[in-house]
Amino acid sequence: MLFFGYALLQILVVIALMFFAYPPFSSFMVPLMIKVFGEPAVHYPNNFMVLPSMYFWINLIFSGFLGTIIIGGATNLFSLKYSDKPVVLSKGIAKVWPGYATLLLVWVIETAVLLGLFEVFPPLLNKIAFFSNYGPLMKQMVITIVALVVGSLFVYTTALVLLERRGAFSAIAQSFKLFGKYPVATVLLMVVPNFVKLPIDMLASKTDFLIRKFNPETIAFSIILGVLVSVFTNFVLIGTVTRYFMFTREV
Amino acid sequence: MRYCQFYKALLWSVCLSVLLIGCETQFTRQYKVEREFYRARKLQESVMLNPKIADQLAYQNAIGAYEAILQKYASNSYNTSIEAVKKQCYVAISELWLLQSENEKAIEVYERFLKKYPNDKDVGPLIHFANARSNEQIFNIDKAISEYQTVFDNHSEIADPESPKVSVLNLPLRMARLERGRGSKNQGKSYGYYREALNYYSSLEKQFPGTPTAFAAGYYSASIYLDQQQWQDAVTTFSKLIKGFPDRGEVPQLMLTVASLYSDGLRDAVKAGRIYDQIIQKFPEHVVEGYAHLGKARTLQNTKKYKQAIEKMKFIIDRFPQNVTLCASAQLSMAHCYEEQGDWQRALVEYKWVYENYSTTAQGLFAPTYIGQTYRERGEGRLAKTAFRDAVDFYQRIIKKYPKTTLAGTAQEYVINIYLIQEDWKNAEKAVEALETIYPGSRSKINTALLKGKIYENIHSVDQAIDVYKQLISEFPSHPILSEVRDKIGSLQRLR
Repeated sequence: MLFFGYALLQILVVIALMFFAYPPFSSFMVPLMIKVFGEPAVHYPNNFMVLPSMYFWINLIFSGFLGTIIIGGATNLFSLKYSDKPVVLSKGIAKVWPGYATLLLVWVIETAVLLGLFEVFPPLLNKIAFFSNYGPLMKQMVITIVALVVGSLFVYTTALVLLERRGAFSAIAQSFKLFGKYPVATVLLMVVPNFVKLPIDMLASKTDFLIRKFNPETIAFSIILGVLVSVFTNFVLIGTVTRYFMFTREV
Repeated sequence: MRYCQFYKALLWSVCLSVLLIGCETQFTRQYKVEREFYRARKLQESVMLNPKIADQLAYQNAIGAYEAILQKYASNSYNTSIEAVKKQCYVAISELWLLQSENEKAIEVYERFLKKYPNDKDVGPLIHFANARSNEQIFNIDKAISEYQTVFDNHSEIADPESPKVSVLNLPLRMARLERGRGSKNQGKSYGYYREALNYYSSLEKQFPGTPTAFAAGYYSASIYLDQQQWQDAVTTFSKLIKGFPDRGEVPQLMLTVASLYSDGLRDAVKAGRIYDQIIQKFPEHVVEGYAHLGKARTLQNTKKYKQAIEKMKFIIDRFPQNVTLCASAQLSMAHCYEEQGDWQRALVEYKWVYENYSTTAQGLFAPTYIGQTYRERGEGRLAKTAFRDAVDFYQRIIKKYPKTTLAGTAQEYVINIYLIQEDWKNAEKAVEALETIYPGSRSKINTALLKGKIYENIHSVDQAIDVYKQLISEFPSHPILSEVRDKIGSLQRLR
C-alpha cells in the first residue's frame, strides 16, 4: 500500500512532466523548464529529451522528504511482521517521526556521496582505454554496479535509526561495520532486486534511441514502467534488508 | 481514515488536472502543432529512407499528416511558431509531391502558400524559386520566368560581395536560357535576355572588383558567350578569371574549359595541347588531371596521331581506374581510334569492353547501339540484327538492375531507338508505352507522346497520331516544341 501510494505520486509527476504544456502545469512548468534547460526544451520532442533529467531531480527531492518516510514506515512494518506483532500502517508511519530528522540527515549524506560518485567516476573511466573501446554501455554498467556497492554501505542505516534509535553518524558507522562483516550478503541484498530494474533504467536513459526507433512518449512510459517495477524491488529490498538486519542482531 | 482523506484529495486533484488539461492556451496550441508536425515528419522520414521504392501509401500518409495540420490550424495565428510550422508543412508537402514527379501537384501547393502568405520573407523566396523550378520542369516557361523574376527583383541586392547568393546571381542567365529553350521563334527575345544578363554581370564586375561576386559574375558572363557560341569571347573571359583569381579552387576546371574551347570550338590543337600540359604540370593530384590527359589524347586523335593517342588512353585507364566516367570516355575514344584506323575487329573488342565494364555510364549505354548501327551502315544486315538483339538484352538488364532511375529511362530510350532504326513499329510502340513506367516524369511523358506520334505516322495511323499530339498540347500547353507539333497536326489533317 505504502509503495503503491508512492509509485502513484511518482507516476503523477511523470504525467505532469508529459503534459507540461497544458494547464494547470504550463503556468509554472514552462517558465521553470526554460530557466533550467533553456528555451528549446519547451518544444516537442525536446521536452521528452530532458524529461528523464527533470524527473531525476524532482524524484531526488521526493525521495528525500517523502521516500525516507515510506522506507522508514516499511522498515517498521516489516520489523512488526517479523516479530509476530500486529501490522498496523498508521503505527508503522507514526514510529518514523521521532527519527525523521536523523533519516533526512543520513539521506543527505548518502545522496551527496552518490552524486559525488556520479560526478567523479565517469571522467576517471574515460581515461581507461578499455572503456573507451567498449562504448557507453559498459561504462554505464560499471558505474551502476559501483553505485550499488556504495549504496550497500548505507543499506542498514534506516533500520539502525528506527529500530535501534541511533544518531545519523553512529548509524552510518554501524552500517559500514555490518557491511564489513557481511559484505557478500549485503551487496547481494542490494544488487539482486536492483538488477531487475537495471535494464528499464538503462532503456529510459537512452532518449535518442527511443525517439529514433519509437516515439518520444516512450521515454515517459519507460520511466513509468521503472516506477512500477520499483514497487516490487523496494518491497523486496526493504523486506530482505530488515529481515537480514534483525537476523544479524539475533546472532 | 486520515489516509482515506489523503487518497480522496489526491483523486480530486487528479480529476481537476485532467479537466484543466482539456483547456488550451496559446502555448498548448503551439505544442500540439509541434507534436503533430513531428509525427508528420516521422512519416516523411520513412519515405525519405528510399524515396524511389517507398510505396504510394507511405507518401499518402506523410502528405495526409501535413495536410491535416494545415486544415486543423487553417486560421491565421498570431503565434509565429505555429505559422512557421505551417509554412514548413507547405514546403514538406511540395517536396513529397516532387519526389513522386508530380510537379503539377507541387505547383498547386506553392500557389496555395503564395495566396496565404503573399509577402512572406522567410519561406517566400524559397517557394517562389521552387515554383519556378517546377514550372520549368513541366515547360510552363512564362510562369517559370515570372517567378524567377520575382525572386530576382526582391533578392538581387548584394548585401555582402564576399559571399554572394549564387542561386540568385545566376537567375538572369537562367531566364535567358529558358527563353532560348523556347526555340528559334523566340530568338530575338532570348538575345534581349542575354544582353540584359551580360550588362548586369558586367556592372557587378565593375562594382565589386576582385570579390567572389565579381568572380561569379565573370563566370556567368563567360557562360553566356558559351551559350551563344562566341568561343573567343568565352576564352577571353575565362582567361581573365584565371588570371584575376589564381587562388580560387575553380581555376583548374576553368583551365580545362579553356583548353577544350581551343580544341573543339576554335580548332586550335596546339594551344589546347599546351594548356592541357600546363594543367597536368600544375595540378598533378587534382581531379582535372585525368581529364587533361584525356583532352590531350583527343587532340592527338583529332590530328590523326592514333598510336600516341591510344597510348595516352591506356595510360589514363591504368592511372585513374577509380574514375569510371573518365575511363569509359578513354576506352570509347580508344575504340574510335582503332575504327578510324580501319581496324574494326580491334575496335569491336574495345566497344564491347566499354559496355561490359562501364555499363552505368553514358558511354557504356552508347556502345551497344553504336555497334549495331555501324554494321547497318556497312550493309551487314545479319550482323546488325544480332548486334541490336544483344543491345536490347543489355539495356533490359540495366533497366531491371536500376529500376526507375535516369539510367533505366535512358536505356529504354536506346531500346526504342533500336526498334525505330529497324522499323519494327510494333515493338517500338510497346517500348514507348513502357517508358513512362520505367522512368516516370515529365521528360518521359513528352518523349513518349512524340515517339508514339512518330510511330503512328510511320504506320499511317493518322487519327491516332493526331490524338497523341493533341493530348500532348493539352498536357504541356507551354512546351517550346508545341509549335512544331501544331504544324505536324496541320499537315496530318491535310493527309486525312
